[in-house]
Amino acid sequence: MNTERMPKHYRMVVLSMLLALGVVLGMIEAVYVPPLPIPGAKVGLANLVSLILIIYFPFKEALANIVLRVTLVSLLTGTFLSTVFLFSLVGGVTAFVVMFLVFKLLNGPLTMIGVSAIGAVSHNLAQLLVAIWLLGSWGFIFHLPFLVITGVATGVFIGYVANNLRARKDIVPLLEGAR
Amino acid sequence: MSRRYSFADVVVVISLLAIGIYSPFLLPKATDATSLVVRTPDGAQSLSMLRDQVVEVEGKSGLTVIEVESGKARILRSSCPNNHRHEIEGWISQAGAALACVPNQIVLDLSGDGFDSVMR
Repeated sequence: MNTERMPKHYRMVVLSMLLALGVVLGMIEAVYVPPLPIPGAKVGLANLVSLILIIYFPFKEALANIVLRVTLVSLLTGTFLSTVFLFSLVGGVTAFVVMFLVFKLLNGPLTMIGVSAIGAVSHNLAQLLVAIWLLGSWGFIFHLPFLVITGVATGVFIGYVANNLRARKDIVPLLEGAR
Repeated sequence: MSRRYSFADVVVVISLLAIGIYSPFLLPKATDATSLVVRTPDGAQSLSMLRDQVVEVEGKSGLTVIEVESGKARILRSSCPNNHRHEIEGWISQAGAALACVPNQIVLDLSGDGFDSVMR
């Protein structure tokens, strides 16, 4: 299906909708979902959008989408250009780059559950390193075990949702058409 | 073409969990903290961990309340925008552990006898 190449505008529309979805999920998370005890470490609802971008879009478009999402959410929550913004940006971009590489290299054996778990753990570890560097204390390393385990749990959950989404015959063609 | 999960997923998840469970053993050996260094944008102050107390410090965007109780410390509450969302929080008691309220730029470092030698 969709053998015919879609016009360029179609891709732009789909990317904009994914950006909007990411911002909404990010806002829901920022307002309603109880946080986990480290800045930015959270359930990572918006990570679902990162996974979709990784599956169906090239690196450049996907990265731009994620940077825009983090920026828009921080503008809406009033943390733009603060230290909190830096945490979100580093976490989001690190998770994306790691998941992108893992997906390209291991898409055969792994499903999105494995990709997402690795991404969530690297998100948390990147933020831990930012905390150590920015706040100048090695003491945050004591949170490491906790961060790895919560990363796996949240990553598996989001990966499970992504796997289900990938099985949807009504949604997937819309995304593939925009590739 | 879609699977619920694969063998490789299970391997990845179990290895990550194993790293998470094993990592406490790689951290510096825990000793009880005897003092708490509070760093704020205005400077640093030291609190005793041997005495229960509740202390307010002024951060970049408001007050942060620190509680020390039976050798453990935590951020009780904070005027951080979004409240607890941007804190590195929980109870800490081991020398070398740290907490922070990021928007307020407040960092709590626990120190105790013996920790310096571990860090070196």
